[in-house]
Amino acid sequence: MHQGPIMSSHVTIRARINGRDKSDKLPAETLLIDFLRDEIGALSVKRSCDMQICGACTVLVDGKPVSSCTMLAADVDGTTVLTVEGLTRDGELDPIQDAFLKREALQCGFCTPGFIMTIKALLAENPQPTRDDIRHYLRGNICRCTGYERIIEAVLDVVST
Amino acid sequence: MKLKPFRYHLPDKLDDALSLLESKSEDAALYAGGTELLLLMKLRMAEYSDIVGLRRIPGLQRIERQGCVLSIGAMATHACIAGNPEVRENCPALAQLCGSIGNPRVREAGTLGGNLCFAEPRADPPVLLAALGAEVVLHSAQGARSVPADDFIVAPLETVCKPNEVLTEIRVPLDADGAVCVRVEQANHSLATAALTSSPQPRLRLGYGAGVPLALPRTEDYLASTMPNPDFAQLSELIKFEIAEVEVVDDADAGEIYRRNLMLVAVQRAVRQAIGASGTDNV
Repeated sequence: MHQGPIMSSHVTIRARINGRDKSDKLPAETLLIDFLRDEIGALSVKRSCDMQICGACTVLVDGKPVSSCTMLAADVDGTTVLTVEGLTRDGELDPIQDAFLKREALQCGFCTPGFIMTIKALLAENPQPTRDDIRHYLRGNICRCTGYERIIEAVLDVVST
Repeated sequence: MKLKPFRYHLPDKLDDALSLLESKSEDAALYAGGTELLLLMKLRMAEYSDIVGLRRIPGLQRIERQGCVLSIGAMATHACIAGNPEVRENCPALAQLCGSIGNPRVREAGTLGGNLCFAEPRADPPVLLAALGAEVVLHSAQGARSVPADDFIVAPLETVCKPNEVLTEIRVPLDADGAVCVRVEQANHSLATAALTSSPQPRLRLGYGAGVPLALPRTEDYLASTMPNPDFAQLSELIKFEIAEVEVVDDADAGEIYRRNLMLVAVQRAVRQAIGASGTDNV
């Protein structure tokens, strides 16, 4: 392969992150999760499996759910990025967050931000999902604590309001 | 896991990408959705001095019908393909397959071209594309060539795409009507996948975690002369006979005997589905 250490190139990222326009220059190899946690301070984005299986690191890029652990920060140049930190407006919780609390759809909470962002994407795509739709869409998010049922109930609560 | 440093290039013209590959091909990797590449790099199983991102190159994401061919740009994501009206109308099996790959995040980032070029041995799209008689278009600084999907993957993780080539397009002929694709899966890992197109002639391809889609020509001939009413006992014997000639290894997903049985089941279900008899398309 190559000989010797590689000089990293830098990338400039201009993106609207949680409602704020940001411009950052970063090493090209920066992963999106590290950019969001370390530069933006969005600590809701959790590193869990680190191989895009569990969904804990899910964020929305232009409204689409992606695994921030396996994406370059460079990929969000020119996009809109949303994490849980961007959901709360004027101290008001997003209806999904509210439903999660009312239904006690979390215990340790580590998977929760990933679930909430995924659900946000689901409801944008399909505002009236059936229970089966929900289960299918959330198939890529793993929770070790709750047994999933309360999460599904929380989503159904949001759907029915 | 973090990535080792690399030089990042984001050309906005195909020619620029091809020039980069000419000068750096051995140490450079093409970057589409990154779902396979970045993971490999995070695990330190691969290392590249240069990463060439393709997302700014115009036309690579386009999906359009061109007469009797469905043209799918290599950078079209699985989610886009699954939701595209042309694909859903003209090749519903492909739309359905792309809609079931991985999880929603993998589908939003991952591309069909990337899936083919990475050639993960358990990937399903190569099996269906081979059954559909699709071809892929490869560009280099020297020009373009077409390769049948049947011939594109030669071994697990190995394709005929050269280091200085970019896969730009997948072309699916639309004369193949009524394609079905049956996955026998566990936890969304495909253990055996059978894809069958019934017309103009039956084309049957079988994936079993070995990377290269397997053709079953004697079974195809039998189907050609007996569809839509094959004798399933005879059909099963023929399938078993053709599968017996293939090496199937024990691995973490399935033992050999179990896998061979699933291969048989996948083909049986594909035939039933093609006939329109009742049956589910995954376990």
